[in-house]
Amino acid sequence: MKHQVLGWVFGGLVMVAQAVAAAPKVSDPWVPEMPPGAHAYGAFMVLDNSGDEAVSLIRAEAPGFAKIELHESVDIDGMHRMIEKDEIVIPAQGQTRLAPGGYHIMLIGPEKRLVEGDTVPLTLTFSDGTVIEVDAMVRKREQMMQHRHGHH
Amino acid sequence: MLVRWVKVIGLACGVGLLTLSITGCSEPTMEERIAGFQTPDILVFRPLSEPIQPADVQLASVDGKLESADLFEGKWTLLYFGYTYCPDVCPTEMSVLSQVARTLRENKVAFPWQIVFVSVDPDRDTPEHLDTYVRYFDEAVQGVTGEPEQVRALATSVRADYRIDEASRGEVGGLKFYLIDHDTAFRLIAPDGRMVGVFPSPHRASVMTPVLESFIEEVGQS
Repeated sequence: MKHQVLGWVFGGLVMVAQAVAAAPKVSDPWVPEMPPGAHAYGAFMVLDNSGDEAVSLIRAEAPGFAKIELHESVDIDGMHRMIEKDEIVIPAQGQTRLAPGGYHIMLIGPEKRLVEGDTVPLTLTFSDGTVIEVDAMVRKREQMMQHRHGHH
Repeated sequence: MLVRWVKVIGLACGVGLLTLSITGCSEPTMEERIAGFQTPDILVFRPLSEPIQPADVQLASVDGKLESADLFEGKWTLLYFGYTYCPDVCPTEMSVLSQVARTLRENKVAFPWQIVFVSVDPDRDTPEHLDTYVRYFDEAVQGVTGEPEQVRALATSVRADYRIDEASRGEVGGLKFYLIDHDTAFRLIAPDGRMVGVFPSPHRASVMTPVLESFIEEVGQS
């Protein structure tokens, strides 16, 4: 009986380990320092999916904001617009970048202005049930943009 | 070959001037100089060989009311339409403009210049609020707005469109919240107040600044 229970526990652990292996991964989370007077801002990161099926970011939460939404910035005929998304898809064995001018987590109505050195604790929920908590560093936008271009 | 023709034309002009005392060989006009400017890439910069006259409107800045014509007169202006509630693209574009400003200062360019941010959201962007916002990016940026119809008239005259995204309207944390779809190009206004070129998005400061400088050097002198 004891062994059977251990077997269940062990089996359960193996299943959890497999699920973790295919879970989405979050890297380089950051939030640009807010200009004084800004009321809405983006959080950016890289999302990887090593699994064989597409998975989506479906919700983002963080303390200190009135509202958080998922958005995509798009340019249509020289007009720029934001489109609210129900989900941001990471393709199977693929990557989706949340970056200025594209996908972002929109942080609306901050309780206080975020400056370089602050962190935003984000809780990200994915369509496969995975929940990931990450601390997004607040950085100067320009440094990050130059950093990004430096890799091109 | 080209040099020889220039010499021939020059000689003909000289002879013409001497014999007829006419000024038929005057300097090319700004329109002709713009038409002669070879843009390296129209996705980076589009010169307007037929310059556009912006509407004369009354604007408001932190220093008070001002006429748009006075704002543009005597300086090369990079004009951008945005709003401070803009979550992503405006701060990104403003970062590009601050890099342009820094490069122009480092290069000690001979021409006078300024960067103007026009808020298309006068309902929420007061001149004071706007001023704090734009100066965070660079001290050289001027923030202006105005009565809605004045801002609209200016934007329309330089072919910039914007509209409130009604679907985004709501109240968030006691704040009026809505997003605005808007044009993201940088418009170049010459010191005579006319729009002479457009830098369409996406923008890279390192790519657009040399084009801006060479255009002004080639087209600007009169």
